[in-house]
Amino acid sequence: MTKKKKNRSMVQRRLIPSYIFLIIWSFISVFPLFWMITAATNTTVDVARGKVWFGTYAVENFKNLLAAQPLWKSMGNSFLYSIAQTLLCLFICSLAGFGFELYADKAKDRLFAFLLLAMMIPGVATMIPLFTMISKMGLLNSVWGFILPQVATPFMIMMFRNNSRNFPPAIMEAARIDGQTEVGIFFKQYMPIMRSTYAAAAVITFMNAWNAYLWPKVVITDNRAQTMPMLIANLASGYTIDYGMLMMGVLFCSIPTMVVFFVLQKQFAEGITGSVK
Amino acid sequence: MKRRLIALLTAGVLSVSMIPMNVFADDADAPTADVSSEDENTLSVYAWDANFNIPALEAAEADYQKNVNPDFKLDIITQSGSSDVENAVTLAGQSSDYSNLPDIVLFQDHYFQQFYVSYPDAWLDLADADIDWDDFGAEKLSYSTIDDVHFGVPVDNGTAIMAYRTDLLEEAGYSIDDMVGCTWDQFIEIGEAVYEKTGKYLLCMDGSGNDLPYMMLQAEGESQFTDGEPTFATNEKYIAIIKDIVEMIQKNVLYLGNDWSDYTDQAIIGDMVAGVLNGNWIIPTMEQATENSGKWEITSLPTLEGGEGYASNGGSSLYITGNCSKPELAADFLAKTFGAGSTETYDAALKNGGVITCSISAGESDVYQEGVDFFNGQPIYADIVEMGANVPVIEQSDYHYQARQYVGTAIQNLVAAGEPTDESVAAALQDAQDQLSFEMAG
Repeated sequence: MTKKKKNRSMVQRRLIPSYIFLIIWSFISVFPLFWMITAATNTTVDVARGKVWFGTYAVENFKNLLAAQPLWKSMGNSFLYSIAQTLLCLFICSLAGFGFELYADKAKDRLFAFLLLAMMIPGVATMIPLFTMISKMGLLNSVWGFILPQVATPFMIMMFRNNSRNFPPAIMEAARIDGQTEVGIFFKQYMPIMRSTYAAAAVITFMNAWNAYLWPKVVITDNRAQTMPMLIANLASGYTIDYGMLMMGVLFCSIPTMVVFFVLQKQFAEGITGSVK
Repeated sequence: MKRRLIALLTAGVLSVSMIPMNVFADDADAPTADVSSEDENTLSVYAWDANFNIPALEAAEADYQKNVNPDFKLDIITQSGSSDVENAVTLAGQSSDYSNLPDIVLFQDHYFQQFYVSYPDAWLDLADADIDWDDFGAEKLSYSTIDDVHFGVPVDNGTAIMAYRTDLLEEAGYSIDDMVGCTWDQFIEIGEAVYEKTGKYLLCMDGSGNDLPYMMLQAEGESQFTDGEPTFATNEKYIAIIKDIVEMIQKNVLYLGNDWSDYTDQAIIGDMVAGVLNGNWIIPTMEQATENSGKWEITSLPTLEGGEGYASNGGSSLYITGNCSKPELAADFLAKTFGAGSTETYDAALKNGGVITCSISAGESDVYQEGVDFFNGQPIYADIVEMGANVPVIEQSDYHYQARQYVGTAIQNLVAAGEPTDESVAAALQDAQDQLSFEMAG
């Protein structure tokens, strides 16, 4: 018994450096978030002078934020764009991943390789042609202008294809014997079984869409259609920046992505590792 | 799992319920850059500072509505910075599709010529506009005039101010009178005394965007460029200026911030300095340190040989874009507000946004003659307009910001190398000049 206790305390002592390292690392990770929250409650002068504790200026900062920028409008826009993009992207990419992995075709690997090539092209290189296309289609300042270039990404198709390798082919055979159509198999068998992958893909797509800045900046020239990252950038404009108000805006911008991530955290981890239930 | 699903569903329902509330709400009055959908009395404009140039545009809109056209409407589309406007013009020019541009843009003076050369179709000239150009300082107009044709109507005045904390000068045994027209050598001497007595620097600047060399050289009436080519290393005054800057840093007279935020937030708002030299748009930043109200005064710049120096930094003008759907209305709006020296526009722009006019006649209004408490009751706005008229016209370059970057790096290297000599400064400037020439050669 004593020996066991001794062993346990030795193990615990050996873990001390790890704990110290982890505590320091956690502090480094969490501190910017903590500062963001405290800064949202302070005046800009307090923030500039390095105050890192809570102040009493939160309500004032919030009022200033509402007066300076259309917060609710931008929040609504961001939700609309992000949800629409996530739903469409998940549907299209999962359908593509399903097809690429679970159906036999001689040309599919060549086609997939061609698709992966698109991943190598930097987004900035396609920015001007894309802008011209969207402009000519009359989709500037619209939801479609925002989401169309991102509704099918090679990365998402690859993710769904790779994870589809764990989808049991026997289920497809059984469903076919039961008389289900191929479309029915996708909706009734594939989608429920691949839900972890869907969750991971949803988190990634939603975050990308929510945080997108460059493309919206190109395609949205209308204050009515601006997103939250654009609102944040507008708050940081000019010669004099109100840091308290800016941090209040950043806080509002961060909450939805945090909620989505925390809600889908477990499924995200499962989906990334490719597990299937 | 169940709880998470419920949370997810709730979040989803909440998100979706927000969409119709905000996105599809009737919002016909919100600004848009879609010039094709505007009515005949509406113009759109890109601007970027809600506390500075946007109130000036609002003032002009109200002026035009009151005195010319009651149905007029100016849609001001907020951008996150001047670079957004530059990017929008670049995108339009590169794609030869100008539909993303509004009728008018507020554009940084230093950048205009470069953008005009690259994208000439992006701009409409003001040759037919009824504007008295003599009412503006020649230096300000030199940025927006190409081959004697005017393209821009000046908005804010970039005249440089040299502001001093009179209480700290006194503590060190000096007064602001000692600073007016002093030489840079005397400035360094006084700066050392101020730092010794008060622990504050007599000057500060953003190290990543160091505008000091440009302003100090302009105060001497000279440019970093001759006939379009950089002449850093062969200009003796420039060598003397850079040597002074390095010396100031080494003797704790000048605090060189790591970046813009360090310069404004730590040095100026953080109360580290007894002096500020920059375009007068720096004033709202200075005024944030409210505890120093009444302790500041402004004057002109020191010079190498003594005598008052005048310079300018920054500032912007309004330009009509190639996408403008109503060029006559745009030109008339600019001509009757900012271009006419309208006291209604400029007085409100000053009161609401702190924008100081470039128009000599507008600077004579009563509002401009009022003393400013923060500056010890000094009528700084009238003083700045007066100083603006004295800023020497010097050669401008499309490579202004690149020059700033290379010379800024040279200064950092010289500071690290120890005590500067004429030779070491000339060699560092030669390096900077060679790098810039290489870039200019493409």
